Amino acid sequence: MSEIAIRTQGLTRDFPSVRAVDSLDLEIPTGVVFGFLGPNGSGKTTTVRLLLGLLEPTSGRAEVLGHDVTVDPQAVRASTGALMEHSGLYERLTAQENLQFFGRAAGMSRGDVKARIRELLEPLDLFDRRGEQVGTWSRGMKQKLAVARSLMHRPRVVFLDEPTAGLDPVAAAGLRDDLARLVAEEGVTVFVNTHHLADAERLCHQVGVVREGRLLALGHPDELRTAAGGRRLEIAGHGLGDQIREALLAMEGVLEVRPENSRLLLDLSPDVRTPDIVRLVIEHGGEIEEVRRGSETLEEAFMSLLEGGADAV
Amino acid sequence: MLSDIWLVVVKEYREVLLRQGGRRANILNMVLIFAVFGVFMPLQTGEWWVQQPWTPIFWAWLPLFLVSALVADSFAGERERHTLETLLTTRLSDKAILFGKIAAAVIYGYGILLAVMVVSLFTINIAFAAPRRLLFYRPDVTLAVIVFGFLITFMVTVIGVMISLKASTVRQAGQALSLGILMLLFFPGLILGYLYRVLPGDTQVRLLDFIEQLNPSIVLLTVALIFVAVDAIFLAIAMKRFRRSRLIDE
Repeated sequence: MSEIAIRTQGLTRDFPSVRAVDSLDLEIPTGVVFGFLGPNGSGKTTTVRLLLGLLEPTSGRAEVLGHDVTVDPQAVRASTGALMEHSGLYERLTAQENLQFFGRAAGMSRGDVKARIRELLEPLDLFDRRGEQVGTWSRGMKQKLAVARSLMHRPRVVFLDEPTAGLDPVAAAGLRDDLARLVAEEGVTVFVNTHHLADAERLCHQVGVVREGRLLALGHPDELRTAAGGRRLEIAGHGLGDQIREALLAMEGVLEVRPENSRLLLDLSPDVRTPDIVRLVIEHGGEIEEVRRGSETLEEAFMSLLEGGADAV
Repeated sequence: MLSDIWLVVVKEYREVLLRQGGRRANILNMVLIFAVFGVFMPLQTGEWWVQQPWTPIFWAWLPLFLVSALVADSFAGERERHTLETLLTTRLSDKAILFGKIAAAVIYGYGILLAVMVVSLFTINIAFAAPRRLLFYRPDVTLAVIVFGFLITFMVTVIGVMISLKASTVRQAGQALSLGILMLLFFPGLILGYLYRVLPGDTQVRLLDFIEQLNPSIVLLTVALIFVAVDAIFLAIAMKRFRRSRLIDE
């Protein structure tokens, strides 16, 4: 079995007026949930289409589970599942008929399809409603069913293109939880396109940030936060007035000090030591109740990568 | 491969025929077809319905109208309902998807054609047969309907599927297909009529003499072979045009 589930080398796709994917180099190990982050139009969907063999690359190559997507796209599709931009469900069919069709299309036996439908729909609370026409369902329910469909034939790699797009916050959080559980249970490699940072925070072991088809950063969400903006310190207490703020700002490595209620939020360069900060606050008459280390949220890291014009990886 | 094609056929029936506008509307449509072509027209025509030699022309063109809605929906409908891309992400081969769509329409159109033909035979026998005497279609007529009915159904289906592959909506595909059917119905007659009129008078007479002397069986066989060739060409074009990357690009 290949250790690398997805590998791309210089993968490029041009459309008449735009280069959608630009020299993309990726190596995603098996069993990893990989988040492909980027704003709309950054080439995420085109990348998934290339990896599924639905589009041919202009140059470069890609392999999924050892199959070249250009040479053997059918083998790629046989071993992968996909939830594309739209749920892709047949709304005039029932949930069961949808799963039956896609299960049989993947080569599953009738008995296996029947058992698998129960296995997937019961934890999603959809099993009792499997006989209903999908068109009558809410968007959140359809999206859950579409996720189940993508996992129906026990694929080794699953592509999810904006799985929570268009859902209200409650439905999106519910789907995120269901996804996290299903992914852990099934042990599949997941390639998830998203511009919702909450999806990446909740689900992903590894993320890549893409803009205008170019990969800007690649790594664990924590690494990305650190790489994008150093670290943060939060001090809560009393007497944290202007004098202390000025003293802190004068200290080398302190980038910014923001008061918020009875707290100070400090942006620091990585080499500043926390005890030195604490000592300085006490020396200037401040009373400290709590000191908490923090870091940028992934969203802040993401934004600074996009706005900062970072060079491609 | 065959089971994959059948899977697509069954999906098409469930999705397009059994659900579109509700089962009741589809049953009503079906009843209307059988009532008009299986009962009303034979009753109006009488015994001549099964005896006259021009019946195959009527039967052979009936599938045009039966399959048009189904083939217009085949790909344009999937595109419009945002299910096409997901269908293309499955293991199903290009051929299984394309042949499944074609087979669904051909089985539907050709099946109804044969069923209506049988129903009209019952109607004629119930209404007009003398005691202890059953009325049947002429054998050559029966054979011609079976052969040409299939070939024409197949041709219209493949043309319709090609139009649907390119169209962005079902309405657009339906309009283009209606125009195509009209041309198919009237264009050959208009061209042949025009060519006949521009011939000199003595050539027209010689041509009519020649046609009268032709063996009808050989004529029918020749026409059938031409249809087979045309069907094969259209199918080859459809197979060439059905490429996943092209469908997504479009």
